[in-house]
Amino acid sequence: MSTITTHAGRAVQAGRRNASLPHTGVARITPRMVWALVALALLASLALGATKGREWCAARQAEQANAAALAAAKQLAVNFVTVDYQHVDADTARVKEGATGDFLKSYSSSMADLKKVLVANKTVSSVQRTEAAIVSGDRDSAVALVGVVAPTKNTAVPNGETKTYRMRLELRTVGDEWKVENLEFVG
Amino acid sequence: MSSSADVKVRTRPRVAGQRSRARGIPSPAPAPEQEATRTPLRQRASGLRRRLPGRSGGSSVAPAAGRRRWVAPLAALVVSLAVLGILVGLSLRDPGAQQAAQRAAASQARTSVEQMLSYNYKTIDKQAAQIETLLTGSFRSEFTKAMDTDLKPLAVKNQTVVQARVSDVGVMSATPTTVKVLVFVNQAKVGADQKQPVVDQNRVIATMTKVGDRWLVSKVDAF
Repeated sequence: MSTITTHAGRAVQAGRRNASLPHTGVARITPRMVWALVALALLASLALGATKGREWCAARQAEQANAAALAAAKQLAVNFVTVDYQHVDADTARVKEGATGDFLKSYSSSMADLKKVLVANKTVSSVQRTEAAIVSGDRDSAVALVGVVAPTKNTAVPNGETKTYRMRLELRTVGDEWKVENLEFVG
Repeated sequence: MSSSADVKVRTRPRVAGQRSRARGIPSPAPAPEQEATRTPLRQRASGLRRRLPGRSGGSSVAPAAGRRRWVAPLAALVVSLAVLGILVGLSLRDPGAQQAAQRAAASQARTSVEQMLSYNYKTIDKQAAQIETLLTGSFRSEFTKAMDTDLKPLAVKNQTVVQARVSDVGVMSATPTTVKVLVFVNQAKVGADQKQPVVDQNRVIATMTKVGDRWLVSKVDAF
């Protein structure tokens, strides 16, 4: 039905134009109508392309953001677990670099006590395996899980033992960088 | 023409700020008028010259000229419709589909891992059969074998009851048909030798594979 009406409509239009523009003579209007269709199709393409392109861009950006957040979470967990009593300051400075907000505050304030314990116990903790995953995230915030297997040595266990950690990290972008603003151990 | 216009403007009473504008207008204004009086003949002549060959050609080689008129618009129409078609085709792909698939796989992993890691020595046969429907590939047969040879005899012997509870699930990596998830799961275990429940805090990596419209477990790795 719709095709029939449009054809009829076009026929009427063409007739009217021929009548009102007699000086065009032999020139028929139909090529112009084709050009109009071309213009219409291009307009539709433009509109569709713009909206879909934006959606596609947003999805891609979210994907890239998740990947960046995941990498940052993993790195912070590794830095957090990697400690040697002989260079505690350097180890903790690395953690602070990747921290922000509440986590940075609490970590910094507990630093002095933590350092005493680590040095007194001659703690050496390293990372054997890290696995990280994204729970949720958008372009500027994310929640990540990190599981860590960490061989640890101290005066209580001089031969070492393997500790495991389950962490849930909340991250946020600060400038171009992803930083951890909350870290909790999952019990 | 230009001088008379100038004179007319100048005879008008001047208002502050108007002068500069008044001077600006008259000089460009006559230009089109001059053009109009001078060039029409030339324009008409050239117009005729341009039209003449077209008209004579139109009567003698009308079909060729007519066809030529259609070439450009029709080619443009084909191209523009092709572009539109491609865009419509592309837009049918949902950009959020990947995210939705990940959420679906993660939520299925939560229930599947809980079921897999929970069992009661009294009902273990029935549970094993149910669990198998959640698995796929070679992992399914591996699980059946491990269940029959190790888990079941041990559970029956120790009267073991294990209740698993997943606290967190996250996506490690994803393709449209496989999603790898990290699961934090606690297993509370009681048995003949263990009256007080002991809780194991596990870290499990499960690979979910899409089979038909379901996400099935194709691999499990605890670390």
